[in-house]
Amino acid sequence: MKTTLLILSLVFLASCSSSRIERKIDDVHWDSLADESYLRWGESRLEKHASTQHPVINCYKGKAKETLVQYKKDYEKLVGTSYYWLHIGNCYFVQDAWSKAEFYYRMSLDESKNATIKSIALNNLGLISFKHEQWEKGKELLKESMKTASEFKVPRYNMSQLYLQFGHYDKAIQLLTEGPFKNSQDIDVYFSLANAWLYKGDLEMSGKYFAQIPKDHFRREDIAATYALYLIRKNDIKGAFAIMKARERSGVLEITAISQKIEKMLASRMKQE
Amino acid sequence: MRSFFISCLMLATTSVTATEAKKDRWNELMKLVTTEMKILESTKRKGPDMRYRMLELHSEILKLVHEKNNKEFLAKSTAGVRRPKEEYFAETRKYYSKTKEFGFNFLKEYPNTAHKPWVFFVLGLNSRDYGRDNVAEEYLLKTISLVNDPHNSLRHHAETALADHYYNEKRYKEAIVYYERAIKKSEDEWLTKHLFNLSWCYLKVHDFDKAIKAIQASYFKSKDKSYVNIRDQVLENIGSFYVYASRPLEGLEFYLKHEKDPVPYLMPMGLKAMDKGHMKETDQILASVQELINKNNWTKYQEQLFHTYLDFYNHYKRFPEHEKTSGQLVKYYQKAEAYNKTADKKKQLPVEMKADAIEKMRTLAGFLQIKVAKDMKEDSSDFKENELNVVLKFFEHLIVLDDTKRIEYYYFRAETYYSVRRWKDAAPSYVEAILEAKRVKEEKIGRKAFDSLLALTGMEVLSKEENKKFLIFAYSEHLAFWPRDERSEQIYPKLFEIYHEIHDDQKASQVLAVFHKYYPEHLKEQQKHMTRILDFFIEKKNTAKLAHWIHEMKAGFLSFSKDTIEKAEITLGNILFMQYQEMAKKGDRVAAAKGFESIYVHKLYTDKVKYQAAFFSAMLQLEMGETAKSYHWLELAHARMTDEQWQERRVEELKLTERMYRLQDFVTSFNMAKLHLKKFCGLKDDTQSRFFEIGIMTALVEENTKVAEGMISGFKKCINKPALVDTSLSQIYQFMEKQGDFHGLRLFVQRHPVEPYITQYRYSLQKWYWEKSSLTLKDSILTEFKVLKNEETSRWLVEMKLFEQAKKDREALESYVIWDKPVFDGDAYNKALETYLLKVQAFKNNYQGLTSSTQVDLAILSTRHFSQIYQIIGSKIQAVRPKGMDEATTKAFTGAMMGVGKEFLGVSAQFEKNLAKALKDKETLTHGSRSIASVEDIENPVHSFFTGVTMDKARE
Repeated sequence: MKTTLLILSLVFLASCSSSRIERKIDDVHWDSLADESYLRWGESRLEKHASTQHPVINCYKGKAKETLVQYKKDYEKLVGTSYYWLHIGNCYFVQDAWSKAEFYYRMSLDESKNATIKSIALNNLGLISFKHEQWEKGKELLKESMKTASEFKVPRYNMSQLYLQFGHYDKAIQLLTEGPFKNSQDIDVYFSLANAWLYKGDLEMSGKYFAQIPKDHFRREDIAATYALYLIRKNDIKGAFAIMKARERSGVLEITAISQKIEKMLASRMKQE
Repeated sequence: MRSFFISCLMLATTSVTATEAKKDRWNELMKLVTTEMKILESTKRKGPDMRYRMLELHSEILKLVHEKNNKEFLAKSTAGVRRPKEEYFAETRKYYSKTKEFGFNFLKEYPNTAHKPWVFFVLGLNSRDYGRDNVAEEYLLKTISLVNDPHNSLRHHAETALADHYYNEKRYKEAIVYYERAIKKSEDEWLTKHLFNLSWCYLKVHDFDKAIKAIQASYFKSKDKSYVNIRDQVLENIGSFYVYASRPLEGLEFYLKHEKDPVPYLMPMGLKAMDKGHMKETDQILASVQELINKNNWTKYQEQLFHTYLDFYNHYKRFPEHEKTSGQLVKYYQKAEAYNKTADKKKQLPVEMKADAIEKMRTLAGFLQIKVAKDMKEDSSDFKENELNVVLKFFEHLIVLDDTKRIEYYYFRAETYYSVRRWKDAAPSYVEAILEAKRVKEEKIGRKAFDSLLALTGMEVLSKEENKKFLIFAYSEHLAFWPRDERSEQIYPKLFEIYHEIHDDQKASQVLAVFHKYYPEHLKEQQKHMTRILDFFIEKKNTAKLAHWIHEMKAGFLSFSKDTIEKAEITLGNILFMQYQEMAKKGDRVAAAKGFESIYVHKLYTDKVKYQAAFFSAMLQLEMGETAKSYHWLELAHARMTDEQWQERRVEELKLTERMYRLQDFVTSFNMAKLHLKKFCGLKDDTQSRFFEIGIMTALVEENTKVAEGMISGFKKCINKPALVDTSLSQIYQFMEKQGDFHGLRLFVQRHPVEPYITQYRYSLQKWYWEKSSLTLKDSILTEFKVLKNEETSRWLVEMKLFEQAKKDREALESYVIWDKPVFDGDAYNKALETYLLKVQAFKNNYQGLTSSTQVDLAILSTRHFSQIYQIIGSKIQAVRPKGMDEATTKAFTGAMMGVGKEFLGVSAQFEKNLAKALKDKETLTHGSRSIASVEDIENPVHSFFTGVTMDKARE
């Protein structure tokens, strides 16, 4: 019986490991990208609005294959519509089928003259490039997307994440505080700004943005880890320890490794104290 | 009557075995007689007894000679040899004369011999039987006169012989005299015969009562074993006696009373009564016979009785009864035929008179037919309906009974109808006659029947429909009988017209086929007719029929030209597809596809139609998003296409191929592309190039670089744009690079060791070296750099090694302890510090070059190293606190060290400043820049989870 449980737990752990942080937001007020992307729509939101939204929403509900079949059948009817190729690409994207997703994004780009569609396709192509660690290429695509439709938030957000990764904090802050993001309320935007200010070394500004994130979301492992580092910098070892303890494990190997480093450091600091 | 016996005797000897036996007997007798004769002749003294014996022997020899001559005469007569009869009996006559002479010589020599009456008796008998001298009466009377005793047996023999002689000579009254004497001798065993002969004599002189009495006496005496039994002869004749006596019913009574089975005698008596005009009595006699047959189940007599009835009815012209009996007789023969096939002999029935029955019916039918026709001719109201019916019934009986001449009866029956203008009945009867003629291959009557039927159809006496039916029959059968014939040549087009008019294309075309077979010289006319059939189907949109005939034409029917067939096929396709195309237009694609598929599976249609149907189905399936089904139907279409047809469809198929990938089916799209590249490789045109592009593209979307490369090597010769090869290779390279496929990329470059891949490859590897975390991959890249033996990679290798050394040296500098002595010594301290600074100097000199490496990641990391190491050094110098130093010295020392350390910290800050500026200015996105961002030496968590957010829509 014990062996079985052990195997089951190992299986569970293995199945939990992912390359992606779950960033679903159920409360639409905390999702400033809601008008442009279904990606962060929580289950209840997807369910509630499925009928009034584009069919691609079903791909985010775990029905990508069926939806793609339906797109096939509806080809004659939908091929002339703006989003047809784009949404097929997104359904493949959801399934990590990057080559096919890219193919249809390019179809969309080739066949649409609509700036909005082009901008969306460029944004999504940028993400495909990031999947292949082609950062420069991805950056160029995002820049093009932003240029094509400057009112969009998502390409700006994506670009900010790229900048954050590579230490261009000022640029990230600029992107997330200006233009369409002015006065917007968004968990990931606040978290990104808190992160940027932290890494820039401005604990005050960082703290200001951390304070705007609802408490529940501190259980997200990426936010918890970043906030713990902030607290460490603030010398609040106990607070950092508590945050880390309360986190929900993401299963993403890299973040798990970071969390473990932080926990080790915290243990060492607590000993010293 | 005696001659009758002789004839019977003669006939009895006709069988082969009997002849042989007779011959032996004859030889034997002749031998015996001649031997005895020779013995007697060789005797010197011959007395009267011996002479009389010799006369007897001569008479025996005479008898044998006559027997021989008679036999020869019968044989030759039977064989048909015509010679005067007397010639056959020359030997008899000769020997008769010899015997007669011998008798007279004997009487001359012995005039008073007691043998004298015997000699005359012998000579009289010889004269009666073998001579032509008419002396029998004389010699027999001489004998009688020489024997006075009326009871003498010789006298009795002579008298009976004389009676027989008179009887044969039809001298009945004289015969009666001697027979009346003869019958008085009751001991004569031949009394029955004498009575019988006497009865005949009475009959001949019309003394019927005596005749009947005498014959009755003969009948009853025959029952007495003392006398020769001639009962059968009596029974055969007594009936006639009664008839002659006009008392046939008494005869009937006699037979019924005295005979257990009188049937064999009653039927002849019936006929005799019939002959003599006793119709009523005959009816009664025959009815009695029927009664006996029925009562005793004597079926063996039934055939004969029926025949007797036929004769009877015929005799009195009672034709309806004759016909009725004929019908019964037909049934009898049918029954007999069935019974006689069985092994049960008891059940078997006689059929010996069947031919006679046929003849009787046939004769009567013929007679009546002529009569009916004649009556009709004279006055159409005069013919008797019942007679017509009888005739027709006779033909019906004959049709059943006489299969050898059945055709004649059919024909006669039809002719009978025709003769009485019963056209409606005549026509089917001619049909029957024709069919029979066909069955028995009887051309002569067959042609007559055709002539009559054609004449009939030309008279317009039947309804239009009926007329057409019989005309079709007559024409068709005529053609079957005489496919090449003067009249048939005219009939083919006529029959075609009839069939065409009633839209029976099958038969119309059959007519044309036969017409063509026998008259190939009329091909153009035949083709013209066939075209009319096709035109009709086109007009009626009868696709099934049209397809059928296209098949036939393709198979060579009427040798139509390829062009004509092609046109017909196109027309067929247009008609066939129109309705389903309309259906598809209206949106019912499923039904339309099914329609096309039904055309495809239909056996009737030609390959061209089938391929088009399959092709249309493929297109519809694609419109419904069913790529697999679409491909399936395309494959079916391909299987039916000629190469030329396929080629004509290439552009359409290219569109289908494009549609396939647009419908997310890259595999099928690839298969289509490959199929076309292979099939039409030699064309090397834009379409081929486009298929090539699609092949590469779809393979890469399916992430199958091997297949994509295979496509290049396999089909680069099939395109007209060589640049496509380079473009495709580049796509494959980029795909592999994107996938981080080190091994794939290495093999690709090995296979294609050309620019730009060689250079790109180096940079891809360098990028991976710094970005990827896998140590195995890093080792593989270092090894590959060595293998490449390139100046740039060699330099990179040196720098990479140097960087690794720098990391070790940095650790040494970081852990280096500048001063740890228990007592401070200024000079020693200075020296120790100098030693450390020299080490720092050496580090700088050794590794500063790395900060300007062309490997951006290395330059960033190196710069950061220098920044960090100067920071550590500065801090380390500022933190030195030597032991055993007084307070003032300590203050001065610390101040000095703070200054020294500050220098280093300043340099460190400068490094950081420069680095930050460089990264910011260039927005560098390399691994180096990412890896240097950290808080508390822990990398930014955002590094690990960045996936970005996909966009789905714009704000609505």
